[in-house]
Amino acid sequence: MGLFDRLQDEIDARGRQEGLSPIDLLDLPQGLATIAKKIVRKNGMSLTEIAEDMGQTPTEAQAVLDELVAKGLIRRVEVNEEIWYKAHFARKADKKLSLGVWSALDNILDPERD
Amino acid sequence: MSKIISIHSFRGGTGKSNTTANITTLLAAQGLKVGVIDTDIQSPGIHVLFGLDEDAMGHSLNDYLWGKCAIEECAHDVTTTLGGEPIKGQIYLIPSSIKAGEIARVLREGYDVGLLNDGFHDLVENLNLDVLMIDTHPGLNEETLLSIAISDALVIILRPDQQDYQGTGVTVEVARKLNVPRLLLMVNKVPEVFNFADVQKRVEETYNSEVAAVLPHSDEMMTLASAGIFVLRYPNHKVTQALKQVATKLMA
Repeated sequence: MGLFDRLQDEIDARGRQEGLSPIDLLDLPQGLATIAKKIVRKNGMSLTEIAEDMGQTPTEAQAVLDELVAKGLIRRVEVNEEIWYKAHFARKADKKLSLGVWSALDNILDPERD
Repeated sequence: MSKIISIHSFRGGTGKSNTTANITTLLAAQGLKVGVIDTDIQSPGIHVLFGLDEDAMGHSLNDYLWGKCAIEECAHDVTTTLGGEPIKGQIYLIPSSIKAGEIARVLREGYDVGLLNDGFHDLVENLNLDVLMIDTHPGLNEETLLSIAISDALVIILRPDQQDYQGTGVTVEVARKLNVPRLLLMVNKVPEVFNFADVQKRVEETYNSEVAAVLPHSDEMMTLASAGIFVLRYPNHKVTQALKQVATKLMA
């Protein structure tokens, strides 16, 4: 199975998520992980770069990237009038403590007191 | 071409912040422009080594993550405040806030990981850095994984301790999965009675990874107690020589 077909399978198997977590880089399927890690490392890549890297035509690469955007893993940005693709990172989750604990901490850690 | 270097360990107390601060200083002493960012938001501390007082901190990484300022506004030029021989290059420190309320706020509200990632790259570009050193929180967490994922080189520090040995195995595995281009190990705080060549050989064989240096336990380092930059206070010490070795390998 070629890279393109494998990527399609991996993308289809994945539901939509609200952004990428750095933790995802460890457990994404191989094909998706390869692209995601490269995009993260370079903090964005153009379509041409990605196509070259994947050994695909720009049209094939575009199809994969459009699906990754739809799945919420990457986002399109304009850089010098060219479309680039960057990781769409999810917001780091807040710590799940009960409201009472945060309230108690706020009383102790009041910034006005510091 | 600029380099992003992360200093990490699985366990706490291995000497990450001291190592980061000292390698930063050694690289700046060679004439390089070096940024050093404290991503240990939960327990920041490297600012102490650089003598940056809480009251003088102004903007911190926390302010940037809350959208209050650009990342460059958090960069403090600490080059001339360190004492010792004048440094040819420059050191920009991006501290994390030491205020309890601000640490609690980040823990409670979280932050935009994409913004942190953009911040790393913006620092390199906007300050025209030769090197960005990332001081990390111990263990595996989102900040650590992100910094490893974007780093050109990673130094994993361990002590000759069974807990460190096991944890280092985990970190090496993660680093390889994240395709770090250059991975170096540094064995720190080694008792003088150990055979250092043996330690190096065993660690290299265990993790199949290069050991950049084996550093002895140092009473001088313990006595200095993060009150300053060791390599400036003790330029001829064997720990300084070992740290120079690490710096050289990182820039090779």
